[in-house]
Amino acid sequence: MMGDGGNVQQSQRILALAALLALAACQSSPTKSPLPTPSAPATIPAPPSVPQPPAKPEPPQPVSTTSQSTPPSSGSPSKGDPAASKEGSPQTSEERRVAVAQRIDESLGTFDATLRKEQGDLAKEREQRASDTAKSGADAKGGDGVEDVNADAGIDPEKAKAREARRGGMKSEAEGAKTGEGDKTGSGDNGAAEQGNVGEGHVDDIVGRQICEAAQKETDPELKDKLMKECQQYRNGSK
Amino acid sequence: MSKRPRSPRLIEWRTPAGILCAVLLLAGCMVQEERPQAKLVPIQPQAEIPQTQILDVGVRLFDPGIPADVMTDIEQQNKKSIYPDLRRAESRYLAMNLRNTLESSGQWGAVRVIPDMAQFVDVIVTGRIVESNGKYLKLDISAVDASGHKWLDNQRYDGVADLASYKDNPALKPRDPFQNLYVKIADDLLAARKKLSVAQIEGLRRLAGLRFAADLAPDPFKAYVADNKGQYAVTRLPAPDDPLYTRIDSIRQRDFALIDTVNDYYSGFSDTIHESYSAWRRDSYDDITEYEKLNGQAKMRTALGAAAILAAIFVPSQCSGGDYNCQRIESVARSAAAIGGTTGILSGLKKRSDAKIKADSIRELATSFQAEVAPQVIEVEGRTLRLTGTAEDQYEEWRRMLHTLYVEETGGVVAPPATAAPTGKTTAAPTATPVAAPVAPAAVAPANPAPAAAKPDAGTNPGPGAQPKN
Repeated sequence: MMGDGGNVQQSQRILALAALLALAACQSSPTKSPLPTPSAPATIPAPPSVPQPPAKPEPPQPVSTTSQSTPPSSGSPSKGDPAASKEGSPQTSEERRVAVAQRIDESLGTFDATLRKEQGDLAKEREQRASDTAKSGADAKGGDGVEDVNADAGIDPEKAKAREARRGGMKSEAEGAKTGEGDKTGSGDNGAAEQGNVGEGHVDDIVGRQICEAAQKETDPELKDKLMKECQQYRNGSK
Repeated sequence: MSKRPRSPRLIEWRTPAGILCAVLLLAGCMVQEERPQAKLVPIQPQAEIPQTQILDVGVRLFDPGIPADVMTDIEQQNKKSIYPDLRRAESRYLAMNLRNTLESSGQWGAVRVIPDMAQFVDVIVTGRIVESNGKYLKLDISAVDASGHKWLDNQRYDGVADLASYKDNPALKPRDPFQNLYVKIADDLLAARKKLSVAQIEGLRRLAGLRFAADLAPDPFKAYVADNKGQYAVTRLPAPDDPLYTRIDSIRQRDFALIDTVNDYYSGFSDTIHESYSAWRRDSYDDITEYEKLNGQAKMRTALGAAAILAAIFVPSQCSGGDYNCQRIESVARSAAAIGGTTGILSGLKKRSDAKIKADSIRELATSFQAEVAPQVIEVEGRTLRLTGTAEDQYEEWRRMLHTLYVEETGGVVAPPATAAPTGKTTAAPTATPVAAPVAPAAVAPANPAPAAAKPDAGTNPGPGAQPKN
């Protein structure tokens, strides 16, 4: 009897040990990674330009959502995708969201840089225009002592005369034949009227008059010199 | 008692006198007296306008108004005095003038000339050039707000140049010769705005921001805006702490900066061509005035001459049969009338010829100026297209990334924005705040759009001082 009881106890011990071992084995088996929704795996439909690996239910693939069509002048090198750097390792939704947000911020920075560059160029152009306007105003002042005002305010008389001459030069031949003695628009007087800037003399020739007007209006100093010399030659030839 | 012969005194020429009077009246109508115009100023605000009620205005480049048959046919261009490159330049220049006038009124927020890709501005003004030269300007102007409500619907504005602007007087303050026309447009826009309630105005700002958000991230935000055949209304508002909306708002700030940059392009273009364009207009004004005068004289002289000839032929004799003296004088008078009439007609033809020469001069001026300004139009256009093309590509990328972000935040599977048809939006944005009155009236945003929990519209309008202007 005693021997039978001993056998029973031993078998119970063995059974208990086996149960413990089985329980321990169950605890150590790998568990499935949690999915946000039970119905769909965490696959992101890729933009058409990006080839997407096929979705697998487990384990979830690391998704690369780096856009391939970066704008040409944004100049943004496609920086290493944080997701790509962890390619092969599982990413949570939070990590992916952070990665996308970071890419958005980076692209905003790139766009800002593009706009800053454009605005910088515009600022330089504005300064250049302002200095050109100031310079041409100074030239006009040096000529006749007339303030160079905005065209809307009223026209510099010197420029008005130049305009008259330009109109005179553009007349058709029939009317131009009357301009030798001066006509209603007064274009015949322009040669004399421009003496203050381009030297003494009178230019009868229409071409010469146009050259003198162009010389007066020119802001580039080198070109102005050349035109003035041409004008002077016409004047000398007219005398 | 012999009958006293009728004296060759003032023979009653009733018929020729009547004709002469009619001709003189007609000639009188042809005389256009040029009087100085009053200098209109846009209506200024009487008090400071609250930030929430300041609306931004976008002025699109004007439609150049170039008929298809004129585009490439030089004969048609000369006939109709429409020059494509000149009109393209004016489409930018005139839009910038209107922009400057609106800004000077102080009634609006950020006023900019906007590119075509800019869609979501509080108020958008469009225009079409009907006629433009140194003397006359005709524009058809329309304006529509963010809800789709039309403020101005193809309204015609006519202007005659203010001669005072062309005077050679440095003491005169610079003014565009058609400034009065722009002032009228600005005042009409203001009148349209005043018809809206405060709630409607504030709703417009919110609506513009939400429409931008819906365009950039349609999945979460399309449901926030109801679209009823081009009439828009807010149906829901995002929560103040909605991260996606915050991110879209930051993108919208870049959108404003882009629009500012493009506006600066056009501003620079206007500055560049201003002097030469003003000179062209000045010359054009003189030539057109001269042309009209010559044309009027031609018509009058021709008409008078014809009247004199007709009178010489058809006026019945006023003399009795035996009054040879009277008949002789009458004959002389008829001959004189015929000769005078012929001279008048010949003089009229000469004036017409002079007018034609003047018209040629006008065409030459326009052609010359057009050649001068065309390269600058191409340059500004190229620059704008480069930047907006870059921006459009960037916006597409943002759309994709925002879509991804939205999917990650909500955990839903939605079709990407490129396919344009969401397969199914699983959940609404978790932080959305419903609006009490989702039904949209046909014209403007609802009067009570937002409960107190709604996000203040910090992103739709940075305010008048936030963005650099030109």
